[in-house]
Amino acid sequence: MKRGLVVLEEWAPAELRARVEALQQRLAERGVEAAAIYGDVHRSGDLTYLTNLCLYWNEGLLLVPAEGEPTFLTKLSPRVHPWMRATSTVADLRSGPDLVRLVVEWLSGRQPAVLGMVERGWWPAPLLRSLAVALPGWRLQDLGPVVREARLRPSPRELALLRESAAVASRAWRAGAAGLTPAERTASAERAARERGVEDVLVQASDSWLEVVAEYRGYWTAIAGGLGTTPDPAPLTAAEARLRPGVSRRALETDGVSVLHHVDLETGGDHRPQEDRDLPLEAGAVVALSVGRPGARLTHTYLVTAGGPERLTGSQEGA
Amino acid sequence: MVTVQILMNEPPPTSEREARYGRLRRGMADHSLDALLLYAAGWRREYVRYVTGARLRASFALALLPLAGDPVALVASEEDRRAVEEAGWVADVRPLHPLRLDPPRGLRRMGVAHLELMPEAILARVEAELPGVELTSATSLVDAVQRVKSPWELEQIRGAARVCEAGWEAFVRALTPGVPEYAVVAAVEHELKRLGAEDNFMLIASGGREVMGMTPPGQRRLRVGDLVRTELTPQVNGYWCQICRTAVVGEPDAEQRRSAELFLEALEAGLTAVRAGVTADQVARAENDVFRRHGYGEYCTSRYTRVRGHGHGLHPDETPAIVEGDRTVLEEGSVVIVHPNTYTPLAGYHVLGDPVVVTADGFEPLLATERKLFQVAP
Repeated sequence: MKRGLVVLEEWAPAELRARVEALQQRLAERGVEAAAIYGDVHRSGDLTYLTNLCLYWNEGLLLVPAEGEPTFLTKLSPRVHPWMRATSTVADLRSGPDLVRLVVEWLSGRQPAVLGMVERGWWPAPLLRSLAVALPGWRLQDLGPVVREARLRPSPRELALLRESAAVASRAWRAGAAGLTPAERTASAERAARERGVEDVLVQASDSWLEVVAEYRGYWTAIAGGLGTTPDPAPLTAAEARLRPGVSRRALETDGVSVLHHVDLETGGDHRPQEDRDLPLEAGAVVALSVGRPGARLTHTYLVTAGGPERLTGSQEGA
Repeated sequence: MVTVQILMNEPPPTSEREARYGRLRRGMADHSLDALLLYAAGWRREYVRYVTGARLRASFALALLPLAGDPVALVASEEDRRAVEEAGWVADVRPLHPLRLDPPRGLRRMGVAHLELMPEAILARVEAELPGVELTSATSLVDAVQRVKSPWELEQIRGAARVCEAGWEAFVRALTPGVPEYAVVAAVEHELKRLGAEDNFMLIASGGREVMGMTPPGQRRLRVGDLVRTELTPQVNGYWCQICRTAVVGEPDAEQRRSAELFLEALEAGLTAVRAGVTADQVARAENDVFRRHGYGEYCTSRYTRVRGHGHGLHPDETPAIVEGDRTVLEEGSVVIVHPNTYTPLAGYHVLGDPVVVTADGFEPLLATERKLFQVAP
C-alpha cells in the first residue's frame, strides 16, 4: 500500500500542465466535453501522471475538461484536501460518499454532450451504469487507454525518474539479498527503498529468490533474481538481444519471457490491453523483461534504444 | 520491549473452511440466494480469501460458492492458481479469462459480494454467462458473516496485535529531531516485515496545533515539541490489527497533556460501552459524550473526524463503522478498534485507539501497549 513519501517536485507543475493540455487537445479533436479517469488505491497511475495525486486509499475520479482545470472527486474526507493540494497540481477537490452525485454536480450547467470514459471496461460497472442513468442526454464514450498511451513515451524528466527508480529498486534488492531469512530480506529491501523515498514498494522473497518492484515519484521499475542459485539467464539474454525499437511484445514473449511496460508494473500487467502485444516497442520505452515462474523469475528493467537495450536495474554483481 | 516470534503465514485449517461455508450458506438461505459470487479487486481481496483460504496477488479474482455443491475459484494468474491450490480449500480452479462459470442447476438468484467494485468488463461477461439469473449485491451479507471471528481467526488477530505492539515500539525508537517522516515509516516497515507482516496500512502526522489529520508521510523533519501521531495496521496471515498512538518529542506542554487526558477519557468511555448486544452508535456516543462534556463536542463531527472506530479482520476497515447513528449490534467474537481520533484546538489532531474482541460481558483487549502520551527524549 502507498505509505511512502509523496512529493510534488518543483519542476513538476509545468510538465504536468503540459500533459493535461495534451490530453485536452485530444479531447477537443474528438469533440469530447471532458475525460473521466477512474482510480483506486491499487491502480492510480493515470491520476499520478496527470496531477501527481497519490490516492493512498479508497477510490476517486479525475475529471479533465476539454478547457479549464481538472477536478478530483474522492471518497476521502475533505480533511485531506490541504495535503492533496500541497502534493498535486489539482486545486478543485470535492469529497463525498457518492461519486455519481459528485459527477452530476460537476456537470450541472453544461449542455449534454460527450463524456469520455478512460478505459471504460475497467470502471466499476455499478458506477458506470448509474452515471448513464443520472446523465440523460450525455453520451458516455470509451476513450480507451488514452492516458496510458501517452505514458508509454517517457519525457526526459520521466526517464530521469525511471533511472532513479531503477537505482532505488536495485539498491533495495542488494540490501534484501544480504538477509538470512525471507522475512529479513523483505524487511531490509523495504527499508532500503523507503529510506530512499519511494511511494510504494512490493517485495517478495523466498529462501532462494528476491523481487523488488518499486514506485519512485510515480515511476515503477522491477528487479528480481535468485540468491545463490540463479534462474537460467539464457532466455532473458536472448530476449535482451532482440529488444529493439520496432519489435513487438509477442515477438519477445517466447521461451517463458514476459514483457511489461513500466506503466503496467503497478498492477502486474493485469489491465494491459491484449492488442498491445502486437504493437511495436518505440525507442525511449521502458520495459521490464522477466523469465521464469513467479517465485523464481529473473527480471530487469530496460530502456529501449536504437542502439540496443540499456539495462537500468542491477549490475553484474547484483541480480 | 515486546518480544515477538516471527510469524509464519500458514493456510487456515479445513475445519475453518466448513465453518465459513456454513455461515455463508445460512446467509444465502436467509436472503433467498442460490449462489454467491465473491469478487476480489486488487485492494479488496478479503471475500475471496475468506472462501479460498488463499493469499492472492493479481488485480482480479472471483470465487463462486453455490448453496449446495463445490466452490469454484477463477484466477487471473498462474501465481494465484498455485496459491489457491496450495491452500487446498477449492479444488476447481479456473482461469478468469475466458470466463466459464458452469452455473449450478436451478440458479435463479445470485448474490455478488463487492458487486459495487466489479469492473464492467467482468460483470458483462458474468451476465452473458448467466442469462436470466437475477444478480444482487451481497456485500453487506458477507460483511455481516465476516464480522464474527472464529477462534482460529481470533488467534491470527492476536498474532497481528503482537506485531502491532512491536511496530509502535519501532515507531517510538525512530522519533528523533531532524528525522523526516518518511524515514520513520521506513523504520516501522522494517520491523513489521521482519516479524512476518504481509502488508501494512499506515498514516502519520507530525507537528503542532496546525495538524488537522493524518496522511502518507512527507519530507517534514521532526522538531522538539512536535506531536507525532500514527495509526499503523500490520496484516499478518491475512488479518489486520490497528494501533493508534501519539508521542511527543521532548517534554509535553500543558495543552498536549490536557489533550492526552481528554483522549484517554474518551477511549476508556468507549471501551466501557463495548459488550455484545450494544450498537456501534452507543460506543460512538460514549466517546463523543466525553468531548461534549468538556466543551469539544463540535470536534466529533465529520468536519474534523471520520469515525470513532471500526471493525477489522481480513480488511483493515470492516463494518461496523463506530459512528453515531449506526445501529449495527456488536456480536460476541467480533473485533473492533475504538479510536476517538480527531482534531481539537488543544494540541491539534490526536490519536489514541485500541482494538478489542467483543465478549458477552465486555471486551478482551488485544494490545498491551500503554494508553498514554508517549514521550521521546530529544
